Amino acid sequence: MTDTSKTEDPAEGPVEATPPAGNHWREATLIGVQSQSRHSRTLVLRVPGWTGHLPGQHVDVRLTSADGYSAQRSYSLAEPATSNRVAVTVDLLPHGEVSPYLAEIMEIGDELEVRGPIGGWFVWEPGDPSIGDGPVLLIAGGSGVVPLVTMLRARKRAEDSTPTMLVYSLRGPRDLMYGPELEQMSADLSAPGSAEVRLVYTRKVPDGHPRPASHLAVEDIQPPSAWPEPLAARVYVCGPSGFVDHATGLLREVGYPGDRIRTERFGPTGVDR
Amino acid sequence: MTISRGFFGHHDPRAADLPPGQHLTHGFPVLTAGPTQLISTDKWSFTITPESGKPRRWSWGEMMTLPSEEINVDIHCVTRWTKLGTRWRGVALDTFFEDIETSNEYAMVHSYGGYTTNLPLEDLVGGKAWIVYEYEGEPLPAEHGGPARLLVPHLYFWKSAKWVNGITMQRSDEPGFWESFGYHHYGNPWREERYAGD
Repeated sequence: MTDTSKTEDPAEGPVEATPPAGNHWREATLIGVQSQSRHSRTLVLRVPGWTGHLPGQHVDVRLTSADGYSAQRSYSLAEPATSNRVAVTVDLLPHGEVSPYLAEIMEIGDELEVRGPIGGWFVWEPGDPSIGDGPVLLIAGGSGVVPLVTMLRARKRAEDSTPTMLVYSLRGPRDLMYGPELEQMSADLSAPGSAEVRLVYTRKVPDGHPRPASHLAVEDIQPPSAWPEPLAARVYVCGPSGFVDHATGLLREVGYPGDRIRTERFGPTGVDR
Repeated sequence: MTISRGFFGHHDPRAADLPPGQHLTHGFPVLTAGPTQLISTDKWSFTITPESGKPRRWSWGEMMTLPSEEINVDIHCVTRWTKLGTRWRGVALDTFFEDIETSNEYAMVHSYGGYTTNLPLEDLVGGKAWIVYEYEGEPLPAEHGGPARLLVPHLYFWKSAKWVNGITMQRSDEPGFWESFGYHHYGNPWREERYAGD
């Protein structure tokens, strides 16, 4: 596992997120890595010709070995749109085929191919008229936090003030991704782009954390007192399939109609994501 | 060709015959755009709506009187997993279409919860598609589309709509849910038709 935290940021500004018509494979070069937890890291890739995407969309990644064998996987985009640049956050699955390469082996200057952006349902762009003034509730299980943090980053970049809360379920402190960023984002709730963040530890809590270890429960998705209304206008749930079913069950219990809930799931076994 | 230095891959010999870009899974991942629909069999029904004449509707009990068959097929998801040798039981769509008169060549499949997906009629008949209600000898679980889903195994699995409740015939190939978000209108895994333009 790497602990490097260097990025050669091309420092280009936000761009219009219009999916390109010709959705072909593009060459990508690793220009930066940021450790996100003990077993995950963000890869920043320079991708000439990448014109942008919406928060929540994903990208297909193709690796080809020297003997011509190739493998493809899909990853959530980890940053809001910047031209010629793609970032993905990869969680290591120890016996996976692709994630060990991305999470541990790939080095600055190494290449792969990407294609996208893919998907258009599980997206939230600040100003989405169907969400109006919100609020918006984001519920993450494990590495399902990645597209939701991309949404939070886009909202912060746009200085959008839609009331927003992230509820993030994870096993223990070692699994926390984006820890410092989430802490900063939730430190001063009057700051532009800030969001309430609730960490739901399911097995082991860090010292001083008020909530005991247990699975996501109805109390965890109760609205913050500052919300103008009890139910969010839109809920995004991302995580392993069992978690998503559990979370949507709780949402139904507190009165959410199905059409306010958008989900993204990844498989329980055999799927290297 | 772009080579990823230091990547070797698994070279799984069982995966050699898969459609391009796919890899094997031994689990059964679930992919759904929204909450799992919970539909009891006494509420379930399936309706075919042709362009003229009356819609034809089957209740659960009526479907159970139709001849069923066992189906052993490989399934291919656009998110790149392939599962080999899955076993289902259900009723061929040919049986439902026996009494339907239509000259439209395209169909829109509808599900409880609002999901839709489009297919040419010729991909639904001719022993290529079924309404299935058992998986591996057990009632089909809700998370996998139970009590009944469409099964069209020769296309990517998003075409095999979960919680299916009807088919509407249409004159042209209008896009369904994922198709309107940039996924391919047809979705042949062997030609790797994942996205619009493939």
